[in-house]
Amino acid sequence: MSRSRHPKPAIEKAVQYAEQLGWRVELSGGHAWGRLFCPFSSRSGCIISVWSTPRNADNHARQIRKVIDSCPHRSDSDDEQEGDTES
Amino acid sequence: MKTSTNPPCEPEHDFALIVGGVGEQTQHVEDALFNAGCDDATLSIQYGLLYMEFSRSAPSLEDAIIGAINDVRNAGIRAEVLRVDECDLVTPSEIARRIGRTRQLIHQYMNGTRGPGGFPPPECHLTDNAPLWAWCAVSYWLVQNDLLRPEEGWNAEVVEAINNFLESERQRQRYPELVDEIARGLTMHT
Repeated sequence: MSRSRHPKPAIEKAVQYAEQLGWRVELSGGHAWGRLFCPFSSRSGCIISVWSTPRNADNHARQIRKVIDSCPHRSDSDDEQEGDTES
Repeated sequence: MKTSTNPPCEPEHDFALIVGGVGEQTQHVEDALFNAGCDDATLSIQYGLLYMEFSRSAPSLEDAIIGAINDVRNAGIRAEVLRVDECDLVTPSEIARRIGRTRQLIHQYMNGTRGPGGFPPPECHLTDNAPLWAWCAVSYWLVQNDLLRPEEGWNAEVVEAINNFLESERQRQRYPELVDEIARGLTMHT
């Protein structure tokens, strides 16, 4: 893992969960530690902001996992690639 | 929509807001929302809209949602809260899911073969094969018949009232003359 770890273990685990599912991590500045990009990397793909110091780290980690699990592109990305090939 | 009690603290309410007017998830947007008090929300972009998942401690769900909407409005980024992500129109399957019962039982409530009878009629799509029920009406019936906790029925009313208010505000901004015309027309006939 070449990126830096999130200081809150629960959030770091949620970020790793995203990576296992093909999400890309980009570190950022300000209050956000970074952003997660879903595998459907187009304008309509999902992006999650990961706070450095959320009010409650466990809640933030749970919410991140919830958004990842409800990503509508999980099963679409293959179809999209096929569609791109045909056109 | 979930409420969990954590005594002696205030209960924590889970809900999500759909927010328009924010084109991109930039650092400016993130910092503005964080500084406005939305550090208890997870921000994401879904279908080009900002989606905010909250876990907020407050005396009631109503206080939690209103506080969150005001925080977003006060962030100074011209964000417009479109609605709480909860749909009042539901299918029998969704009713079953929301109360943790089977679809078959819901159909039995509907046709009166189980339960006390008097299940509310569908709200719309009456002539289709797939009518929809108003969750507020269904949850009221469920509460009246001790099949749902009263606070869950009340929370359904709260969310629906907030969404109706937000939609009405938005419609008034888009077509104020139309809203006034309809109000005049309907008042004349009451």
